Amino acid sequence: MPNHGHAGSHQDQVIGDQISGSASSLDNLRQILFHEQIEKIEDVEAGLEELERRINDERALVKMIAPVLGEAIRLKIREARDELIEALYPIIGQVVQRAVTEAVRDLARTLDTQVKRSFDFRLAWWRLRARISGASEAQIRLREMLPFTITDILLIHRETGLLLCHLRSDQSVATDTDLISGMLTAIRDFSQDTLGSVDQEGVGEIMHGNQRILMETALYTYLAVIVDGIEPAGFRAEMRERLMEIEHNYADEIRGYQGDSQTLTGVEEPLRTLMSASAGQKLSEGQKRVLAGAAGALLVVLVVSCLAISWVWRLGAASAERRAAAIPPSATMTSVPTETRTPLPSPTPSPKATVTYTPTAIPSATVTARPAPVVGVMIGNVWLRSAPSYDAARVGVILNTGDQVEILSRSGEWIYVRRISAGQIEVTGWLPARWIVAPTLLTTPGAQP
Amino acid sequence: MSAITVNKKVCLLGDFAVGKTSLVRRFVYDRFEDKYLSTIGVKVSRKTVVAPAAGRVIDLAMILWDLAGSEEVDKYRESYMRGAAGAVLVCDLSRPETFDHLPVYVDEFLVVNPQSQIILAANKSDLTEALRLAPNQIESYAGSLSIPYFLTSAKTGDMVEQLFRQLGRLLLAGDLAT
Ligand SMILES: Nc1nc2c(ncn2[C@@H]2O[C@H](COP(=O)(O)OP(=O)(O)OP(=O)(O)O)[C@@H](O)[C@H]2O)c(=O)[nH]1
Ligand SMILES: [Mg+2]
Repeated sequence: MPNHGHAGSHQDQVIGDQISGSASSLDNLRQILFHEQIEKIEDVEAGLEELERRINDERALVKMIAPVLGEAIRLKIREARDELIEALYPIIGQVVQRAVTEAVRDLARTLDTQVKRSFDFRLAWWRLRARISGASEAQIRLREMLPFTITDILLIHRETGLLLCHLRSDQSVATDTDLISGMLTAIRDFSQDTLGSVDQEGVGEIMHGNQRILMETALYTYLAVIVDGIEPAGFRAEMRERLMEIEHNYADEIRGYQGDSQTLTGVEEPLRTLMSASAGQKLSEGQKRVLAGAAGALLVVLVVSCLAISWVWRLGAASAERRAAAIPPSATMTSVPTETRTPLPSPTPSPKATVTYTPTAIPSATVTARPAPVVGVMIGNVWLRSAPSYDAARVGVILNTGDQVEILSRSGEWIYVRRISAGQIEVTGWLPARWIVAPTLLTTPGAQP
Repeated sequence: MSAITVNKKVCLLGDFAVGKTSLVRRFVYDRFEDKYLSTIGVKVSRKTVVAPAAGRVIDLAMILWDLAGSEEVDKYRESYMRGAAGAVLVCDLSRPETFDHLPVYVDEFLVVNPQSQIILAANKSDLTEALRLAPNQIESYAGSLSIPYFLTSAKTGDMVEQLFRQLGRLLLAGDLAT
């Protein structure tokens, strides 16, 4: 460096110059010596600023992290599973715990009522049954706890599909049982025709979600019981028994059934008994005391004999219960739904029959709007009546000899006509056939069916 | 006034699309629909009418079995007919063949229910332009069976009420006879 050598020779002077004179030259020097570093620092500062901005701007931050987050979590789970579980437990654990607790509480509630109801006795019974059946005690206990309610009991005439008797546990829901019994019978007939043989019993049950229709068939009638849940063992046998009882007691009425439900009064009693079966095998206070005493005594005795005796007792209690249930509980029941009634015109009074008064100008229009009518001519002066019978009310109009009538219908010896003679008010009504002559009219002999 | 309730099963018989379902719909709900949905199997409806019989007032519940139409005798229809106290025969005034098939239904029905009451409905009387059956044909056929007949229209409601009420009377009268 020649410059350097030259400067070195006047070192003192140069330094003195710089101190005394210009700070700018120091700057210059700094620029010369450090300019690379300074530029780098400026770069870093800008980068830092940008980073700060991104961190403070939430959206930009998310954008930045998202791509790597999933990968990071996966990695973390692989490397530090326990750590993560520990971290997440306070959140997820609580949710799971709440759900489980609720389920357990429900189960416990059912268990409680069951256990309270039956004391230790029922436990012994379960244990015994478990041992006999090979199922676990828990399974048996669970089975006993399944809910079961009867909503409707229908006694149906097999041949006609007509409803003979109906009981309902809950009056608030209205089902059209007449239609149910008709359609059920149609379904049974259909499946019998397609699948069945003569000696087969036919459809035993129909399922719809949790609801089922259980059916038991006898000779002339069948019983359809609409239930919720699973029926207890022996319920079908009970159905059959009640059905047999009814068929036996009402054999004649049912065999020649003409649709008059009055002939079957009292038929609902056996069905009430059946209905009370779903009220559960509740024990009376007296029975409970006996049960408690018996249980206490039995606990002292050997386990084996305890089980055996409890079994015998249980059988006795069941039949006592059935006897007690024969007196119906206060549960409300109805028979036969209400429906709309349309009055038929009575044949005796009320001249409310079908009289159509139309202005004279219109009849021609009315007549042409109908199919080519059968036209007849009156050969006598006769009262028009509201129904095909001399007992029926008169419409209040006499048709005279020569009047033209349109023949609308016929029932036996009676004809339903509309007067169409020009210039007269249009009237319809029944009159005896012999007072009309018509080219096409047949004189049908014999009584009407 | 607590009346006696009597239930009677009634079948509607006749070919496809003659208007069996429409007649029931008119009688029970007083409605009519133009679109045709063929009945499959059977549809059960009910209408109760109040009728006097033998000096008493009777609630007559007609359980109406609306059967699918088909000309062949089929075993399903036979079991649906079982136990019916009455039948409404239906033909279509605009389709003569539906009238020609009526004897098939009558024979089948009477074999299953010999003691029953039958009534004839010649339907669609409102189709004045398309009528292909003369009322006197209907008249003479009904006469030969000694059964009442009505020229009905499920569309306008003409004679539908009268048809079913007349059948109701016959059903109760038949009861008194037995
Ligand atoms: N114009 C007219 N159309 C009718 C009348 N009655 C029925 N229809 C029409 O005829 C078609 C058939 O009527 P449905 O009552 O379904 O016949 P259906 O006898 O029940 O027929 P299936 O169930 O197939 O045996 C429908 O499109 C009805 O709208 C009527 O009185 N007048
Ligand atoms: Mg139909």
